[in-house]
Amino acid sequence: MSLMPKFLIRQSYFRLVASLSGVFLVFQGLVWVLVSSIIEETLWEANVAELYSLTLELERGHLHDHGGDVLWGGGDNIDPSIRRAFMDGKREDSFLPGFVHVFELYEAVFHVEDEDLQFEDSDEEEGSLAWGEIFEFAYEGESYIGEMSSDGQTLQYVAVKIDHQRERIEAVSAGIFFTTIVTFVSLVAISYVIALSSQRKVTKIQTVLSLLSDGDLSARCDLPPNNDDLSSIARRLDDALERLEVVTEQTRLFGKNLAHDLRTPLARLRASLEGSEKRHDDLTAALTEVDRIASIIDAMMRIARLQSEVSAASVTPFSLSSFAQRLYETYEPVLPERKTLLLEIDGDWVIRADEVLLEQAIANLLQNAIVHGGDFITLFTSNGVIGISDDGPGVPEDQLDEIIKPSVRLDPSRGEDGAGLGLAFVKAVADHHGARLVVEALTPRGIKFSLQFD
Amino acid sequence: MARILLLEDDAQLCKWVAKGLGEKGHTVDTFFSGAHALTAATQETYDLLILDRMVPDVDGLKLLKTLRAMGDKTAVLLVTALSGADERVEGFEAGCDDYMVKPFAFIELLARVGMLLGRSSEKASGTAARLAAGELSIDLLSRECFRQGQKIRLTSTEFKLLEYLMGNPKRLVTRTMLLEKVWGLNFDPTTSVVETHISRLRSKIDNPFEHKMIETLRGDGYVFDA
Repeated sequence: MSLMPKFLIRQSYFRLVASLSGVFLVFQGLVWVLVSSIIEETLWEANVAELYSLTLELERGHLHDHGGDVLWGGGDNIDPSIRRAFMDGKREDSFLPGFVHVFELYEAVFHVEDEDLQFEDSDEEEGSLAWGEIFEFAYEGESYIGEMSSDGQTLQYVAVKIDHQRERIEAVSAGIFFTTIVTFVSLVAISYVIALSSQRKVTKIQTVLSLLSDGDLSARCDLPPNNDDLSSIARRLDDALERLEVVTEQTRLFGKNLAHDLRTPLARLRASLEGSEKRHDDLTAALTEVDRIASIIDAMMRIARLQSEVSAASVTPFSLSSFAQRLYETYEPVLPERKTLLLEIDGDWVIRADEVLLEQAIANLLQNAIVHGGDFITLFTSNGVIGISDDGPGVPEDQLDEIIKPSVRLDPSRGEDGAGLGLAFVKAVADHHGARLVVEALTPRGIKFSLQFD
Repeated sequence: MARILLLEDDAQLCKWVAKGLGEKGHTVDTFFSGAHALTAATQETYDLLILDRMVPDVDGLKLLKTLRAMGDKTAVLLVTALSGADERVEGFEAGCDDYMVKPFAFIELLARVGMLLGRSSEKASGTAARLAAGELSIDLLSRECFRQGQKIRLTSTEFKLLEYLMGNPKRLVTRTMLLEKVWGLNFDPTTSVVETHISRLRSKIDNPFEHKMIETLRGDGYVFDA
């Protein structure tokens, strides 16, 4: 469960859905805030206007009958419970500031005993009082807004029920909220479905590409025919792979046949050389050359095969240190008298590789070091790494990467027995395993080849 | 000596191999076509079949599979221009007893033919825990080696090498065969692995003694003779 969001968040279409939905939610939230504040404001204005008209009626002494929605009283008749309600209520600033000395009114209502409530009017005002402070309060379970006023002698109040108006605000808010949720859910659902189908295609293409990079040319997307861009990309990829596979297969067969067709006349040549009655040095030299040509064909075929092959079937886990130990025992005695092979094992690591191929690669590196390297050759292993270093003249820094390129095979100075093919083979073995062949110059002198496995 | 069937579509090569084997006293029936060879192999009794893998009509591999499916256990040496490791595996899976890649030295062919013919006549020998040859003996369980009662310390490679040589006495064993059987390498490591290890082994089991058991044959291979 906890993996799911992580898994989704890495996929671009789901990211798109998630971010669009987020933007939509924020936007709808803002709309909701805006709309409800406009409605609230409008309703408030309407309430206040109603309250003012009531006050006006009251001051003129003829309050019409508004049923249960209006509370009013004045002078000695102020109901203590009304007063308490006013006291507990919320003082709201009227958007039309009146002329009443608010503080005094407040004092009068809430701190002066109920008998003989007098209000000292200001000097500026004559006759009826103007607008005062508006209170929002609850009374007998209903919400009211009310206003205190005075005719100069007695205090009076009027309040109007606002519950039905609050209900309207809530209804509008609920409406917006509900439509937001419905739209949001359907938006997410629809885009999820669309994204899922696109994502499936993207995932399929990804899988095919990763199989391809592992060398499997037979992988195909095989998406159902459709007109969208992804299906078209997948179709083109399939077509290209189809052609690539055919060409590769032809090349492979061509190589195989070429090797076969070269080996048979070589076998014939070798037979007639061997069959010759007089075996003198020239014939022996010719035989050696035949064997050399055969071994070069072998090496080229091995490299070609490694490059075209899908991952090796004979990959097994094995211990690098015992592998190195075994190689050391096999090859240490082989070194010429003046050369020394050292074994450096740093920890015991297990890697997955084709043991025979890896041995072949290390044997090539070793042979390379014996021919071109210094007197001290080291076979080393550490964390997922195995390689050969020596203290010979090495290779100039700027040519390090060059020497493992296939073109260097053609270098006439590569010497005996197709040794130039040796490094190309090591590189092919590394690539075949998804490992890296790293070549480093050593200070003060020497060169180091390491095969680094993941 | 032995009766050998040779399937090889290259006339010149076929002639040369047949002549060489004939000189060693073997009777060789040659075939250019797989179908003919198959008929002959099912009707006659041969000690050894030497089959080229790629010939017209029924190729060597198919022929081998057919024979094995029929329960024929005659020793088979596949000779082929296909050198890949998987092709080699394919050959052994089909039931061949040995596999050789063209071009080859005739001595290599002779050595392998000798080995296969020897093996088929010694099939009942079974596995012993001890190998002894003259004054030399090795214990396959404790991995110990004795000559004239003296214990000789060998490395594991030297032991394997000696075990293989002692298991094939008086027969030519080539460098390629040793690389394959002792080191499990079907490639040439280009270094003198075999020569060096033979020379080390010699220095331990032969040099201190008068009679030399490991003989080098003109650079072609080695013969162990107690």
